[in-house]
Amino acid sequence: MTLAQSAAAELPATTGRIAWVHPPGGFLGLSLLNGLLRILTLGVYHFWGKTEVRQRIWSAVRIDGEPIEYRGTGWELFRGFLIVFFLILLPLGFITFIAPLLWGQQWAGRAGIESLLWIALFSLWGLGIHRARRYRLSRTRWRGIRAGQGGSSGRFAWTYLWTTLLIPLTFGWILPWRAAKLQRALFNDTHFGDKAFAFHGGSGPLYKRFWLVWVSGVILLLAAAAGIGAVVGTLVPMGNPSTTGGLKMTWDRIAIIVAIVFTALLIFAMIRAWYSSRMFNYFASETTYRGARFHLATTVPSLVWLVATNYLIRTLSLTILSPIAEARATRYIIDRLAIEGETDWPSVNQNPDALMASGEGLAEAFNVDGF
Amino acid sequence: MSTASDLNRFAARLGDGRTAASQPVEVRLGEQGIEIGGPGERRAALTWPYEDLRSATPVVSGARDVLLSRQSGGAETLYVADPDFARTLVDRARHLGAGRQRLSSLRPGLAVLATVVAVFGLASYLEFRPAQAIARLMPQQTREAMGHTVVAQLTGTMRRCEAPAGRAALDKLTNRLVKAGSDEAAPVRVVLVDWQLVNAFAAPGGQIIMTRGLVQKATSPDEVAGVLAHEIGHTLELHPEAGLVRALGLTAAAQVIFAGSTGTATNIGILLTQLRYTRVAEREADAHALRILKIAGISAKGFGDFFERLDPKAATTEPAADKKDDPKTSPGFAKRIFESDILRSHPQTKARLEAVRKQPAYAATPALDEAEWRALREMCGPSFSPPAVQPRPQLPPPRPQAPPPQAGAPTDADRQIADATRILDQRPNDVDALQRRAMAYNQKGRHAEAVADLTKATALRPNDPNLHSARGGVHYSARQYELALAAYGEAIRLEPNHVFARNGRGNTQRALKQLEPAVADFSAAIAARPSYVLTYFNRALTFVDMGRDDDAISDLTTAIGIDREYAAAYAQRGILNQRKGLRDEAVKDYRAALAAPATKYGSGGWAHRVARERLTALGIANP
Repeated sequence: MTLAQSAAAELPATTGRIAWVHPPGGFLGLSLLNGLLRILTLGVYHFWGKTEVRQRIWSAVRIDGEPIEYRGTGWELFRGFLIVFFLILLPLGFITFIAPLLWGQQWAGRAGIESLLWIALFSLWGLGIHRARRYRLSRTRWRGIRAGQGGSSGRFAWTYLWTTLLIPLTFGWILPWRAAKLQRALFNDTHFGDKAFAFHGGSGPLYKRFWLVWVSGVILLLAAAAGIGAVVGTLVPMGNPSTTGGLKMTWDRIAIIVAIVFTALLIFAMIRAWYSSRMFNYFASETTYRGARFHLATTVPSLVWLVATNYLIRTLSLTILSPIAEARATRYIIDRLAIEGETDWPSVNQNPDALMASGEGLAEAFNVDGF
Repeated sequence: MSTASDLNRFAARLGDGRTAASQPVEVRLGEQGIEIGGPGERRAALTWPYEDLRSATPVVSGARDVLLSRQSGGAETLYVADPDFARTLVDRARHLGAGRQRLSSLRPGLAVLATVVAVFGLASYLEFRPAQAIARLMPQQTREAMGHTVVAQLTGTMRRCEAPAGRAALDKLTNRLVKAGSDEAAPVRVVLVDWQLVNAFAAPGGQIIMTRGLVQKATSPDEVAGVLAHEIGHTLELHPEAGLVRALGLTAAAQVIFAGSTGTATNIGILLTQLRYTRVAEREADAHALRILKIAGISAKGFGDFFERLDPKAATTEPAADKKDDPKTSPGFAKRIFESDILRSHPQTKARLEAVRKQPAYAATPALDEAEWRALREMCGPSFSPPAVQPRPQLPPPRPQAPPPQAGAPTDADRQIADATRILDQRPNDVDALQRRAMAYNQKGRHAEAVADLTKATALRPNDPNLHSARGGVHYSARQYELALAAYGEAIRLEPNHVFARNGRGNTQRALKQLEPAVADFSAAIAARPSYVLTYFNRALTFVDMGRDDDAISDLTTAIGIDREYAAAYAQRGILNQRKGLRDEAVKDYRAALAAPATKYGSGGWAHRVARERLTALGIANP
C-alpha cells in the first residue's frame, strides 16, 4: 500500500497503519551538505551528519499517523568509533603494516598473532551486528515509548560464528536454516515498550525455493568454469621458441572470460533475488507483536531494481549520496509493509531497560548495516 | 468552538510516555510556550516552555509537521501536523531550527579542525619535522630491515647485476663519495638492477638502487657519480625513512578522519602532500650532491650534463620572464598548472641545472678510470643487445671529417661476428647471417671480409636491393668510390626509391665531387621518405660545398625540425650562421649541439668537439 502524495496540511492521509511520508526537501541536499561539512571538519562531522540523516529517515516512518523518533546523538557514534579504533583497528594496522617493516616479513609469532587477531575479528562480527541493532533500537521511540533489543550480545555472536563456519562445510546448504535461526534470536528479544515481538517461522518454507538457488548456483559455477576452460584451451603457445612455454593471453580472450563471469554472476543475482524476496516476505508474515501480524509484499523486479540502483548511487557518488540509498531502502520496505490486526496500545508500557552509553562502534568501523 | 485566537489553535496528539497510547488535544502558541489543552477546552491544562522544547528532527523551513518533547526529561511527546504551526514555532523557539542545530553539531568538528591547524602551524613554524624525528630515533637495524623490504618490493624478480669487476668499481666509487659525504655515515650499499628504466632510488637503511638503464645512458663516470652523490644525500638526510613514516602516518590519519570511508579524494590528497615533501627532499639531496662531489674532487659538470640529456628543453628554452607578458605566447591555464610545481615530484630541471651550473670550478679527477668505467657499464652484460632478426638498416656515415674506426671497438660487433659465424657454420647460405656479419666486419674496419660476405649474399639473392645497398656502404667506408657507385646503382635499378641506396650514392658522388648528381640523389631520397633525417644533413653538406649556404641552412633547419637531438645539424648550422656574421644564432646552435646527445648519430662526437672549440673561440666560458 503506497502513500498518496497528498498536499493536505492536516494529518497526512494514511491508508495503512504503517506508512512512509517523504520529508520535504528529500535527502539530496542533506547528503551534499553532510559531505561538505565532513571534509571541512576532517571527517569529525560525519557522525553528526549521520545522526541527522537517521532522524530524517525515522521521522518519515508513520505508525498510525505518528512518526517514530531517533534519539541517538553524534557524540555517541563518535565515542563508539574511537573505542573500536584504538582497541582494534590500530593494533590490527600495526601488526599488518608496521611490524613487517620494522622486524622483517617473518617476525616471531607473526603467524600466531595475526591468525588470532583475524579469528577475533571474525567472531566479533556477530557481536557488532547485535550491538548496532541494540543501539539503534534503544534510540528509537514512538509516542515516547522506547524500543529495545534484549538478549546477550555474546551469545548471539557465538551463534553467528558457529553457523557461519558451517556454511562452507555444507556447501552453503545451511543458509536458510541459519537465516531463520538468527532471525528468531534477534526478534524474540526485540521489544517495543515492555512487550516483545515474536518470530514463529522456520526454515522449511524457505527450502522450497532455496534448493533451486543452490542447484542453479552449482550449475552456473560449473558452466562458467567449463567456459573459461574452453577459452583457455584455445590459447596457442607463444610462437617464439626462445621464451619458456607460456600461453599467449590476448585481450579478446580476457574480454570473453570477463563476460562469462559477469553473465554468470548476473544470472545468479537474479535467482538469488527471487529467493530473497520470498525470504523477506515470509519472515515478515511470521513476525507478530502482541495481536498484530506483519505483511510484507516485496517483488523480485522491484527488489532487483532497488539493490542495483542503490549500488550505483553509492559507488558513483563515492558514498557521498549513501543517505539517499538508505532512505530508498527504508522507504521500499515501509511502502510494502502492512500491519494486520489491532494492537492494544494502552497496554504497552515504557521499556524499563537502561540505555547503552555509546553507540555502535564496531558496526561503524566496519560499516555493518542491515538491508 | 471558535474563539478570537482560533488562528492559533491546532489539533495535535499528546503521548504521556507511560503507555503507547496518545490522546487528541488542542495546542496554542502562547507567550511563554505551547499551551496544551483538551479539545474544545478554553483553558490550557499544561504549558511547555519554548526553551524546554526539543524536536525529533531539526525543523526545516518547509516542514509539514513537528514532533516535540521536553529536554527536561519525561517521555511525553506532542505531535502537530500543521505547517503553519511548524513555521511559527521556529520563530518562537529558534533553537529548534535546522540552521542552529547544525551549527551546534559543527562545534566538535570545528574544534578538531582548529586544533589540527594550530598544531601543524606550530610545527611548521618551529620547523619541526615529526617524520624525520621519528626516523632519527629508529635504530640502524630497523632502518636496514625496512630497506630490505622496500628494495625487494621495488625490484621484484629483476636480476641484480654482480659482475665482480663492476662491483669493485661501484664499491670504490661509493666509498669515495660516502667518505666525502660524512665522517661517521652509516654504511651505504648500492645495488645495480637489470632494468631498462633510467633511474636511481634511495631506500631506507642506506640502500641505493641504480638501474642498468641509467648507467648505460650516462656517457662518463662523473655523471654516475653525480647521481650517486645525490642519492647518498637522500640517505644522509634519512629521507627514505622519513618518507615511509610520513606515508604510514598520513594513511592512518586519513582512515580516522574519513571514518573508514576513504575515497579516491583522500588518496589523491595524500599523494599531493607526498609530492611536496619530495620536492624539498630533492633540493636538499642536490645540495648534498654538489657538496659531496666537491669534497671528493669530482667535477659537477657530469651531474649537469646528465640533466641536460634527460630534459634538453631545460637548457635551450627561453627563460620564462621573456614570455610572461606577451598574451600571444603566454601558456594557457591548463598548461601552466601542468608545468608548475604542483604536480612535479622533482623541482624543475631548469632550476636544478642552474644550481649546478652556478658552481665555480675546482680541481677534479675522474670518478673512475677507463677500465673501471667499462667494468661498471658492462656489469649487467654488454652495452647494447643485438638487434632482432631484421638486418640492420645501413646508416651512411655523413661525417665531413671521418674519424678512424675506434681502436677499442665495442664488444657487440665482435659478438655479432661470432653469432653470425656460428649460424653460418650450420647454414652457409643464410643470407641474413651473411649480411649481419658483413655489417659487423664493416664496423670493425675489416672491409675485405665484409665485401666477401656481401658478394656471396648478392650471388645468393641477386634481386635484393638491400644487399647491393649494403655492399655500396662497405665500399664507401673503404673509400672505394667507383665500386660503391656501381653497387648503389644496382640497388637503385632494382628499386628506384631505395632511400638508403640513394642516400649512399649521394654521399659517394659528393666524395667524388660530383655535386649536382649528389643533390639529385638526395632529393630523390627525400621525396621517397621525407622523415629520414640524415638525407637532409647530407644534402646540406653538399650545398655547403656548392656555396649555397642558405639552402644548406634550410635543410639543416628541416633536419632539426624532424629530430631535435641531431647534434651535428646544430653544429653545422652554427658554423654557417657564424660565417654569415650571426653570432648570437651561432652561439645558440652550438649550445644546442652540446645539449644533444653525442652518441645518437656517428657525427655526435664531432659535433660536440666543434661546438666546444667554437664557443671557446668566441670567448664564451663554461660552454
